[in-house]
Amino acid sequence: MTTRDEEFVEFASAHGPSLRRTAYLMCRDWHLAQDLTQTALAKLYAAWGRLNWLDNPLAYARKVLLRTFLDHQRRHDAHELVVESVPDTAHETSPELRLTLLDALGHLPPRDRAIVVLRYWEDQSIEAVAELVGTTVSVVKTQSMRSLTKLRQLLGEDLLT
Amino acid sequence: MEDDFHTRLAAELDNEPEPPLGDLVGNALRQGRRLRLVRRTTTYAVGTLVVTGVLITGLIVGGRAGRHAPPAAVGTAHSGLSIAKSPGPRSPITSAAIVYRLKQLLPPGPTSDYGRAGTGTGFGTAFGTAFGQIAVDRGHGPGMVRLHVGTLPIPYHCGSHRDATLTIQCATLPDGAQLAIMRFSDDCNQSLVADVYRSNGVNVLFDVTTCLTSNGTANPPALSVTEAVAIADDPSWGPTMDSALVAAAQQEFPDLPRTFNN
Repeated sequence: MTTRDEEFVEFASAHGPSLRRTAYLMCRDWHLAQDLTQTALAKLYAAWGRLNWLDNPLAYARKVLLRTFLDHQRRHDAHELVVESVPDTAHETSPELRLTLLDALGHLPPRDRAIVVLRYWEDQSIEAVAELVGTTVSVVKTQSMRSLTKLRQLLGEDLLT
Repeated sequence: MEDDFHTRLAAELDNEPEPPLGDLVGNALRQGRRLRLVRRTTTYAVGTLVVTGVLITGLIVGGRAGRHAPPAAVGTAHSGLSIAKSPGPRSPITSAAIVYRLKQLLPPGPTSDYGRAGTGTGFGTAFGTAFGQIAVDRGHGPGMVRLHVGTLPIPYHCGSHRDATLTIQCATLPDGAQLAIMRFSDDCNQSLVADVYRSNGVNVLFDVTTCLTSNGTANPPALSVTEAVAIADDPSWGPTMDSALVAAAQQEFPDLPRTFNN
């Protein structure tokens, strides 16, 4: 194994699990999350020698993962894993039927879901998310706000306030 | 707000049955190497085509354009490998044809989760590999299988390896094909892989998965090793398949959902 391979394996071993969790939050399917993460890491490996190590390879991996996910969503035939019907608010339902946050995330459009996951799960700055998603800071701010409003509506709780 | 979100999501994730990571890193490394190789090969191929084009142009200009080149051997134009032919018309393999044929070959049981290749840029795209996915329920829940058909210049190397989670057994099948049975002890996507390589260069990779479904129900392997090998070694697999089968498959699966193929 070359030094390049060893560096990559070290990096992938350290960050693969968290990348796969992020992928799962975006797609809600462990099969797909595994494949998305593997492909993102493979693309990262192919670019390994060209990466500028002054940059953050994890940010690059996140970007590849995000674009792979969004690309898959665009080409995919709407195979979303979401609950079938959504109450207006969870107050109208019994506690046993209350949506989980994971379920509620599944009701956001893929790009908005990615923004929320990156912003509030990965704790990325608004600027970083804008760069990752390829949009403006303003869009990230407004979409984050709208998505949280939607989540509050779905969850019907004081959480996320 | 961020803390609430993170805390609650972390708690919910902790309650999710997260499947083992498996050989994610090893698979990514191998896929990355193939991707890098393909990029280099593509560059080389484009360069070769340019040079070839210049030579052909030169020949035409030189007055040889009226001659007919000898016909290329069947099946050698794409891969340089001869492809076994069977009686009757043949059509290029499709994902639908793979799923259709798998339905015929799999043991009885309800099937689901049909899929074709997604947007991955690794093995599948690189080597023109066709891909199909299907799950079969033999009474213990759906068990997913994934089949890749392509051509490779050399078989899987059955030498030593340093992956503690991988066991490999190699054998020669009665029809002369080389078989490698791979088991990744902690990779649910490739719990069992039957890798069949024929002397004509056709390579069939058959994954028997055991990943958990999103509802937390464990998926038992749908097939035994013997059953998996029998399907992987089915003579119908190849870059082309029986035209009638391909047509019937297209009718039954006109719009397979995209899954994610490595």
